[in-house]
Amino acid sequence: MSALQKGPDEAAGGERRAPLLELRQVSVRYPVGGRRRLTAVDAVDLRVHEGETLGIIGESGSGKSTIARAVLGLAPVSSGKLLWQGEDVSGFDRAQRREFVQAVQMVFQDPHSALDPRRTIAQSVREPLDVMRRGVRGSRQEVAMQALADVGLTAEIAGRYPHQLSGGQKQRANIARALVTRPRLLICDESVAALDVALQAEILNLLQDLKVNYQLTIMFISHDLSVVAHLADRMNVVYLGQVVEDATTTSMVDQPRHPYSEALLSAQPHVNLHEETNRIVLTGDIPSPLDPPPGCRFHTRCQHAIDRCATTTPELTEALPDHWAACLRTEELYGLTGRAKELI
Amino acid sequence: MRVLRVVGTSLLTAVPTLILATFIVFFMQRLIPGDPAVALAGEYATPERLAEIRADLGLDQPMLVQYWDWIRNAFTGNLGASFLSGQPVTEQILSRLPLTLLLTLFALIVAVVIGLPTGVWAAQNAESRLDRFLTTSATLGLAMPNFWLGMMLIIVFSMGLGLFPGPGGPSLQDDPAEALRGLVLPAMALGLVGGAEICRQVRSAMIENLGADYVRTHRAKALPESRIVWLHALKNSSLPFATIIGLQVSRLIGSAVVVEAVFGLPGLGSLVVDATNQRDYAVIQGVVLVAAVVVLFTNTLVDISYRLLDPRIS
Amino acid sequence: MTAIIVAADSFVGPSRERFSSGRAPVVASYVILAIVLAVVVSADLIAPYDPNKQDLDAILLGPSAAHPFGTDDLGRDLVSRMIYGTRVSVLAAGQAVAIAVLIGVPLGLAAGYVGKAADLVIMRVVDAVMSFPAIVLAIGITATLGPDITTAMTAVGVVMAPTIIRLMRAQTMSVKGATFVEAARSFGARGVRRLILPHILPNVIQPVLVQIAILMGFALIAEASLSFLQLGVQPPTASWGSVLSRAYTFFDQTPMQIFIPGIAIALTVFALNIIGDDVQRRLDPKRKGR
Ligand SMILES: Nc1ncnc2c1ncn2[C@@H]1O[C@H](COP(=O)(O)OP(=O)(O)OP(=O)(O)O)[C@@H](O)[C@H]1O
Ligand SMILES: [Mg+2]
Repeated sequence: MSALQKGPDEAAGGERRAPLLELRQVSVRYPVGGRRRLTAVDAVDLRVHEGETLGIIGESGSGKSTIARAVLGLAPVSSGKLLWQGEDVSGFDRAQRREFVQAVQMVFQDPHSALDPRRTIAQSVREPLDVMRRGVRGSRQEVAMQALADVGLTAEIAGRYPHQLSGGQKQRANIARALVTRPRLLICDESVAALDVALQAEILNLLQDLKVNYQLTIMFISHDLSVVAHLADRMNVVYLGQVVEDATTTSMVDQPRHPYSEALLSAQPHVNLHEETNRIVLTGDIPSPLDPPPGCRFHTRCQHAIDRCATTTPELTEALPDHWAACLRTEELYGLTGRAKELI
Repeated sequence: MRVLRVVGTSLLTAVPTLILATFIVFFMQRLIPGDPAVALAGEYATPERLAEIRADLGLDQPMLVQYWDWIRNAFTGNLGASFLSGQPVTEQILSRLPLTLLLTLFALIVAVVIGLPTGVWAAQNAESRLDRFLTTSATLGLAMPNFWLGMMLIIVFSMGLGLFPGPGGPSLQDDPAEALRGLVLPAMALGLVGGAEICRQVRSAMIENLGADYVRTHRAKALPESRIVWLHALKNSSLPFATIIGLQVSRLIGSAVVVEAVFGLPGLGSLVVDATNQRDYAVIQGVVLVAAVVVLFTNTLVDISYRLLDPRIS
Repeated sequence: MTAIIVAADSFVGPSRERFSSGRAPVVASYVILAIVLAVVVSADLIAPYDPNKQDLDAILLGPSAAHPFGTDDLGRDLVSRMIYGTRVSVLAAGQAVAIAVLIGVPLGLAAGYVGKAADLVIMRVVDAVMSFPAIVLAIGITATLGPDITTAMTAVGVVMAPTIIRLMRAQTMSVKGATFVEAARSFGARGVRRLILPHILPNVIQPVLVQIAILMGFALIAEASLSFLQLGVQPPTASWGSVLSRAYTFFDQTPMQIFIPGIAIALTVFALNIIGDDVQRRLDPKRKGR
């Protein structure tokens, strides 16, 4: 591996602490009929640092939820490692496992179906405490009610069933459930996608507040770039199960270094107010992960694709300081910058 | 070629089931309380006789060896001998089977003739008064024990009107014409209940189909409604219909056993009832096995037609 | 589809579309069921005579003020025998259904939830059991074990269990992947106590409740059939099936006596089926709004 292809941390000289959560070359493959396998997540490297909000963005089917599910142990990780504060999760003993499960919680994509229709909100919210046997039984109810209050739900609503709640209330209940164990990392999978715009803003503000009050690190998954750009300190762009660009939000928004990110950004003109960009329309559908294109996975839809793109697989390289992109032509297209320039 | 493959796949699923079914029948015999040899020979049998029976049945052998012997014999058509008469079980079953199969066939015809048109008719007029009447009647028909319905038919058509022979007619071998006449009432008793069931099932299948897009297209093209219903929708309901028939065969054979007892017909039913009263375990075992084989055979036929009818299944 | 699936749900048919029977039969059905249950509970109070008391001076009587249904060949009062017989038949059917549920629910859950080898083995056995005509297998088991109502209804329960296993399995497989189950797993809920009992079972059991009504009807008919063949209740106990069996023996003298138990069975089973349809319709998610 050349110096150019190392991860941001090592490149930064190791002065930072180990990330709170790190994925190293994690792949998730689902068996689908016969001997075929669907690679939903393909050798993904990903880091979340304590206190930051990491945005993960990509089209539907790109594997965002699967990444989250792999972290929670809900998706079959077929290769790669998961590190929690620098330690391999697979080597955890029972106590460490419990600690990990309690420290990483998720708010699921669909607020309605994530709640058991036959349990009241209060029952659902206190369930993690019951399952993990946290605290004395009597105090769990109080903890649950406190979490509900923190997300703005009253005791009256706590006694209701999911179908008696509005979409926004349901999502608040889901967030409360994720908070009762006092997690350190909160994974929000499309947490606002199912809501209308006004409610989205409400929930996003709530998350910002909770982040401060609960001292959370947040992994925010969305297909909506404007939402992620608004919330995240750092962004990872995924395409067909691979991370194609990884940069701070400002760097990503101002100077994308991958044609896919550029296309996504151009579709959201209000995100980037500085530049006059022409809208790049992506043609064609996202290819099937059952049969991904060889070489650069994006080449079938990339307006800059050349022959080499169909044969050579690009790796994440530092295109700008602390800004990594997986494109063979990034220098040609966007100019020689970053560490590459310094090295010359 | 496709036919061969279809038959092959169907058999591939049927054979393991058949093997498991034979296990069930075999272990059923192990349920005999106490010593099977005593159960077979009676309490007053001499020790020599008991030992002879044990050796005969291979009861002194390990279980799997016993099973293997039994299944090997069964495969060659040897289901053992009736303990009471000494007559081979296979022979007894074969002499009774035609009547039961014939009865089942007649009943199936009655059931289809009644159930299919009423089911289609109800579906066509779904949620109307006619539909309510038909489905409620079908539910009532379904609720009647068919052997009781048989008694009712005897009272009305045999004792009352004298149109058909009552219980205890001749066997198929002795007087075929009279025996066939004797099958009319039991076939009605079985078929009416089966028809009620078919009516409900056909209605369900047809309602689904009549709401389908292609029906709307046909309607838009102003095809005659009767043509749409009886030709197109019914054709598309043929797969569920095959399933329904498969179900009915199993149901009818089971019920036939009881109905035969009501009518005193010399079929499998009365054979197993007599065997039960006389504790003739070999015969009971044989009949249960043959019933399962007949059902599995029909199901396999249905499965094959299913696969041949449905172009999506290769 | 396999040959085996064809044998699926032999008691209900391939799909139970919603049946609308109009209000009157539905109301009547609940009334019938209520009456039957009342008779079961209060048989001792309402029966005018001891059901087994013989009076050889008054055999095979027609209806009269003293014996509204007449008397049987041993001079026993048929009203009393029908009343006690209701209790015996309903409890026997209840026993069979309870056994089917006790076998079917856990096995169906296991097949659907665990999947893989467990599913394969369970479903193979289910297919094999379903390849027997239900009544024939029940007869075979009862005949082998020796005629007795408890034995007979246990056998009936066993042959009905596959229906519940299939239903539970299908339901479980669809609920297993639900997001709320995944959410529970995300905070460590596993196993029977933390996942299956609190989350899966309550969400899959409803169709089984509907099925219970229908299986109850099947079990009543099975009781009548087996008792008619003298494999069920033994003399002198009265049940719908045994009264019917007895009446049939003498039906050339008192043909009307076979109507009584037959109508009792038919009406009760009818009511159970209508109620099953009705409950099903009420539970249909397509019908009620979110
Ligand atoms: N259990 C599974 N079995 C097989 N394939 C799966 C499974 N779960 C997900 N996939 C496939 O993996 C790929 C990634 O799915 P994933 O749900 O992670 O996408 P996503 O980015 O979250 O999409 P969305 O924005 O629609 O939520 C998809 O092609 C999906 O079909
Ligand atoms: Mg998703």
